[in-house]
Amino acid sequence: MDIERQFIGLKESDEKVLQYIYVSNYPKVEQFILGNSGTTDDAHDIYQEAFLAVWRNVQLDKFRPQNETAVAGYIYQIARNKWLDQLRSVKNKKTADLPDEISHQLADTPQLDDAEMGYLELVKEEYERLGDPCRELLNRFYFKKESMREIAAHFSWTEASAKNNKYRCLQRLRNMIINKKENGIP
Amino acid sequence: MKQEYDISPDEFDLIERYLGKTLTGEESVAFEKRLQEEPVWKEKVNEVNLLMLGIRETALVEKLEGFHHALAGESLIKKTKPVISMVRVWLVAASCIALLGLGYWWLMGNESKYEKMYAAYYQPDPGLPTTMSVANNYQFDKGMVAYKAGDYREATDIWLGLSQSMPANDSLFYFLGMAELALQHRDKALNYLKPLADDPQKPYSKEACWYSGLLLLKEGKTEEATAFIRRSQHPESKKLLLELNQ
Repeated sequence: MDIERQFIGLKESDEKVLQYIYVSNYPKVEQFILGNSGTTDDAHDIYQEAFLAVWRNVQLDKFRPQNETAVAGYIYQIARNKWLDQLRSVKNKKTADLPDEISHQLADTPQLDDAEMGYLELVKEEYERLGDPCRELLNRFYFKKESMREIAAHFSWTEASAKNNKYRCLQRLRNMIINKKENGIP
Repeated sequence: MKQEYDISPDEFDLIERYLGKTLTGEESVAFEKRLQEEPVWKEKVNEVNLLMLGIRETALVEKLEGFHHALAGESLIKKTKPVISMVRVWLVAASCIALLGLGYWWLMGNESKYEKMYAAYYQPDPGLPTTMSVANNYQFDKGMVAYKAGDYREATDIWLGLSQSMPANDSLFYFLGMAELALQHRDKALNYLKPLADDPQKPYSKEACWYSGLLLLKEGKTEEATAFIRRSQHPESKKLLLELNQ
């Protein structure tokens, strides 16, 4: 898959491109983790974290692939660093034998500061608690990139109502986050 | 990120267009100028960006397991490659395909029949009229408004808060069961519905029988399901039982 298609697919969250990238890069990461004291469950978790980190960096304009293997290399590097960090953190005996030449510079570039990361986690947490109609509306608009016209047709609303409802849902999510932050309660 | 500000619909719209890079040249210049001059504006932009990112990320996380399933089989073959012969690899692969095929046939051939019946007969309870009266009833009605709007998570949140102060309220438990059922929380739904279904003296007992029966039918537990559906005396029960006996 060419570089532009990979980049646009990641940026626009095109499901087919995302799945292609996910499936084609997993085996190499799994092989590395299985070969370094890990299990398939470890590989699954680490790989998904790395995949999300790459996707997030593309969303935040902090990563743009420069050649066709850049996405694959970036996922692998993040996954590898994460796994090595995890091994070190549990003081696995084999850690001492692991190569330590990898530069963490690229992979560990902070995507967001602590406050932003905390806020992002709250968004994800509270979004799960948002009512189903709101989640569906926001998902269609922000993830599936459907137009207001398409969303209005789906819900049998006018375009103006769809727009108002989208705002209400965002405002509701925002208020839930503010309440959680201020009072620690939903 | 103190969020001591409001973000109006127009501001949301403008920020989204900025982040989506769809502002005109003139709008873009004015926007950047505002970013330089107004720290609060910068905070608002950052917040909207994180809101959008969080929503997208949650949606993506939900997709990842689906992507992972597409890998099934592949990793098994790769892991065994160094130690077994190609013939054995092919045998394993062929067995996997055969098993997958059998599994697919079993799932689609048997389970889907009952799932289809469940889908054909399941209609959520329309709920009760709301009067928005006082105290506990007010909270119950508030939950009912959410329930009737299809906001089942909100409804369960409100009603769960009430279940402490109204421990023996059958209506509350029945509608909690209905909301959990709509959310496809099988175990929670049955926990609320079965005690009502098992006691014919309780209000909503027949309704609870109907929905418990449908849930069990969906899982292919036809004997148990039949007993509940028969006791429900639901207007559709005879038709459904007839279909089940065919």
